[in-house]
Amino acid sequence: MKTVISLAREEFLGGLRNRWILIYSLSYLLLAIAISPFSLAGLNILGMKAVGKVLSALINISLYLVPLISLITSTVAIVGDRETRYLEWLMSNPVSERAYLLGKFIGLGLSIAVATLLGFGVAGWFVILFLPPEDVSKYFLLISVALLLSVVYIAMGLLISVMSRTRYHALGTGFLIWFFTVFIFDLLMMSFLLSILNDPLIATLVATLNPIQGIRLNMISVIDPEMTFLGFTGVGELRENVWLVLGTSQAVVIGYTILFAGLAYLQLRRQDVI
Amino acid sequence: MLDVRRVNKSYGDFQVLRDISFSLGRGEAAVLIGPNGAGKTTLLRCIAGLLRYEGEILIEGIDISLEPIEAKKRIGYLPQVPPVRSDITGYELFNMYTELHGIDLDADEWFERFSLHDAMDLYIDEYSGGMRQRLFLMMTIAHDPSLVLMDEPMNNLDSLGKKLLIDVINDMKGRGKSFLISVHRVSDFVAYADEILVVDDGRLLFKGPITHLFESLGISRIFIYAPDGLEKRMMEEVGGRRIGENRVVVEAEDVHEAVIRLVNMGVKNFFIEEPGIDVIIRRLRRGEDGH
Repeated sequence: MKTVISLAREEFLGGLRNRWILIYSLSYLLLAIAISPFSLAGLNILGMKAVGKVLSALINISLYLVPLISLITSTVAIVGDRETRYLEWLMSNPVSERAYLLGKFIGLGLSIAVATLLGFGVAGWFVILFLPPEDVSKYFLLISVALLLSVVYIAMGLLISVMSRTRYHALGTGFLIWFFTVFIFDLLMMSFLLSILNDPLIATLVATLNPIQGIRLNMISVIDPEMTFLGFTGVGELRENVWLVLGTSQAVVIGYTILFAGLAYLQLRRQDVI
Repeated sequence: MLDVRRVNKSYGDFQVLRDISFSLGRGEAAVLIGPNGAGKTTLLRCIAGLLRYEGEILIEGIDISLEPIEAKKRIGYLPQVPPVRSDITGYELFNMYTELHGIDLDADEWFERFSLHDAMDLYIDEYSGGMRQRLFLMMTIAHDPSLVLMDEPMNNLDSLGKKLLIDVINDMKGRGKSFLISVHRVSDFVAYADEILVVDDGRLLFKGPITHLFESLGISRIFIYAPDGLEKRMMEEVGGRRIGENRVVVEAEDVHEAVIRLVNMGVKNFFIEEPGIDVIIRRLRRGEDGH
């Protein structure tokens, strides 16, 4: 465990000095600053609807940014160590593949969490200033769900990284996966499922196979436990089974994380260090 | 200390190591030579537990493929190319290294010993090639391993670094530590090595005492600076061959005798060419055939 902590701390420090994470944090910061005052300005007129606006804007931003930054940093993490010969030196020390992978996972997760908290933090300041305490807790719950999304994408990125021979290959694969899960999946799957199944509940459950959809539903449930945000699909059977949908989506996200991390570990053990 | 038994390593259909077996005793130092692509680095990486292989490698009786963590505690490995990181300082890396080995070392003292004290807080990509080599040399030996593996350790080292390296070898050898060093120039280690291992095309061609190397060298070439007047005498009296203005080369079977003759003739400036790895291998092969 001491080895994991050492490796995680080194990864965390490296992560905080990573320019991508810096850009990510600054982007969040700017977006949060831009969104929050405008939305909160309408608070007196619109009441809770204005809060929804702030939070839904942040949901949308995080659903694009969190997977992107998680993939960018994690896909190059192992292959980068291999290319710089750092892995060759590190693994000649008493470090197991499991400790190395866990250290990477925890360190990357923490550095992204800190960057996200920093970015969200400014918006949080506005939220704390203007909103009642119960909405502040919703806000922090929302950040936690965003971080859950980063966990699954870090695991996915590490698997890509272990399997790639160059960092360009790894980044390219990561970007394709990001593009597919963020944009293409919605277009293809949702229209296909709804036309074939004609059952909003099953369609929604299948849609949660995409972790972004699962996290989106969880985020919406934080803001609006009644799921009225879902509009037409938010009524009837779906609303009655909201916990099934949320439970499934959470299980899928955790399942993916374990699956990707497990596969990355097996692949790492199977192959030569360099 | 180190037992390598019938080790084979392939990348697909390409076999890099072929049935390599040898052992190294406590306090012994061996140099590993061979042409580029012979398999030297691959062999060192197998022993360091970085590559999968067929066969058996035991470090102090511990099979590195079965108990890698225990075996790696006993190894110090200096890679051919030290890593470059732009996001971690030398001090932070050293700190992590000591934690990985579960040891408590005074960083100031170690950085001072390796003349890196002023560079402790620099990022590793800010180190010069020589400083980086010294940093990783320090992290090869600071945990006091029983077996030190070095892949062309003289790379990038300035005279200060070379002196440090030789001091390290002498000190650790004296304390019963063993060395396996892949080298490009045998002369750098001829004074410190006990054994020589010659690898070619993935096979171990020769393993024996380094003194055998001297016996096998045969003809040597002596390059001489021969000012006016001396140049002609060189060519007439010792069979020298002019290779440029005031420069003569002499090929001698008995270097000792040739050097005495040259000095007696008033030659002051000359150097004896170190035979290349390929020449050494050829001569060792010839010697083996002769025996």
